Amino acid sequence: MPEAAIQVRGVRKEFGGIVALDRIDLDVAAGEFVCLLGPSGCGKSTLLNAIAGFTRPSSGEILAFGKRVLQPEPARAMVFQEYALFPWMTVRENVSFGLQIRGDRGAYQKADALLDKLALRGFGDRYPKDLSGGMRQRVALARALALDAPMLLMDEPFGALDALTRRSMQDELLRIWTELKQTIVFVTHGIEESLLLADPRGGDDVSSRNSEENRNGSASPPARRGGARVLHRSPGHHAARPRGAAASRARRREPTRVPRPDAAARPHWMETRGA
Amino acid sequence: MRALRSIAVIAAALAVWEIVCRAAHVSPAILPPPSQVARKWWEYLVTGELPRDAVATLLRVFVGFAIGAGLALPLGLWMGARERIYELLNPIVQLLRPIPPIAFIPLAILWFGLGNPPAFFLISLGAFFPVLMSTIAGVRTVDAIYVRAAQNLGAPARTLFWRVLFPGAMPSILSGMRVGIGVAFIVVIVAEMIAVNSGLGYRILEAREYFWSDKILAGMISIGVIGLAIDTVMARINHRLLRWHRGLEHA
Repeated sequence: MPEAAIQVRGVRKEFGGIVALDRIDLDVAAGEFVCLLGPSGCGKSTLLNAIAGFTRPSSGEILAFGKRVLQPEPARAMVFQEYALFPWMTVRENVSFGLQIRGDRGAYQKADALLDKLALRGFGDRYPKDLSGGMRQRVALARALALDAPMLLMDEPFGALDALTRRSMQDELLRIWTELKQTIVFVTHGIEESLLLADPRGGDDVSSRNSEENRNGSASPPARRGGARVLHRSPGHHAARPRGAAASRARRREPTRVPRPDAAARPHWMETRGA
Repeated sequence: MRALRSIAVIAAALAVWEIVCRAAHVSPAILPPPSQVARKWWEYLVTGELPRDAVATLLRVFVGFAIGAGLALPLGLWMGARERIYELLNPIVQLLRPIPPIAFIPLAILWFGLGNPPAFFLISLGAFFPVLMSTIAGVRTVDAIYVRAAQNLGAPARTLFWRVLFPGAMPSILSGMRVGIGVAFIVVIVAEMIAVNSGLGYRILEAREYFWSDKILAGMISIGVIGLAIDTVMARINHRLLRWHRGLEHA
């Protein structure tokens, strides 16, 4: 078992008499990609905000890398659904903001390098209002990545995007995760999205998702997905794949957890309250 | 095209005014025709009287505004950012705010005598409250998500204030300043009619003593033009400072 990134122990959260979370236990190992899936109002964002340190649990405790969470920290970088880019800062200023706070002299250069990587080259001097939703979310992602945080907390980050943009952002995120191996907690109400990002079967069909055929728009038939799963089990096959990254992810990937959408299999803390 | 239409409308209004004055034989002491006002305005301009009055008035507006806004801005930022300070000071602000600056004229003269000091006091009072209220509201309504994002990126309190709360409040602060300078311009005319013996406000009151209606109108038109110029400059400054905000409210 690798190092524990997040340990949630018996967390309860009340807002003026309304119980949002009750007796929550959750363990996330370092380097894991975990989706929190549930309907609106079930408390998944509340849990994420508590992990981020924006709110304190009414009782219970949350540990991040063994230390108790008491306040927000750059080590747990948050990506918000509404992007939360500072509209008065240019894209470059937004991305380098955390680095500047840290006193990094090469903040702008690092920001520009990240913008290049996220296909935002040439947009550094623009303001967020000049960008499309997908671009804004890429900037928000770049801002979160700028500090090399070991943990990314993502609150329905692609919820406001159109289906095609969302799909390419999901691919982008998986690519980043494969490369940087952060611990990612991803809140979503999209069953499909959660299955795509954190597969309950062990993320085995990741390689087929990233295949060129898929990018060209031809949906992968079930057989193809099945084939990808076989790929996961035979490391020899991986070497033959053009996308080594996908293969290596499949190898090192820990079993990930997706709380099932059906009520019976849903963990107790996912119970819908007043939704 | 639009400018042409605006000019045409103004020209038509002036023509109607001229025709009415001539056709109805209106006494020039009651309402002089625009041609007479224009002649008087030109005379007022070339003798150097109008430029001197305009400079005196503008100087009072700027000094008064600088004092009023200069006090209101830090106080507003403080009240906006600190809940305790807000609770402490808000009652007295709410009590003083509805009193029109004009109502302070008797006290201003008792305290400061005649001349520029009472004028500065009244004008700064006129600019103070619009700037104060909009600054408080601006800071208090900065979206909590920006505060969270900044905290998440490790921003200490000082950085949070100067890089997030202050720029986030800027649109509101600047629109308050635009209102404030408008009020300052109103107050300066009144103050000049009562406490000072120079400036545009003084001049039109002086002209009344001699039934120089043409000069009254020439002075009024000058006030209008200068007021419009101030507001246009303020709008330009807002536009420049809020590049990031332009069009955001319609997005």
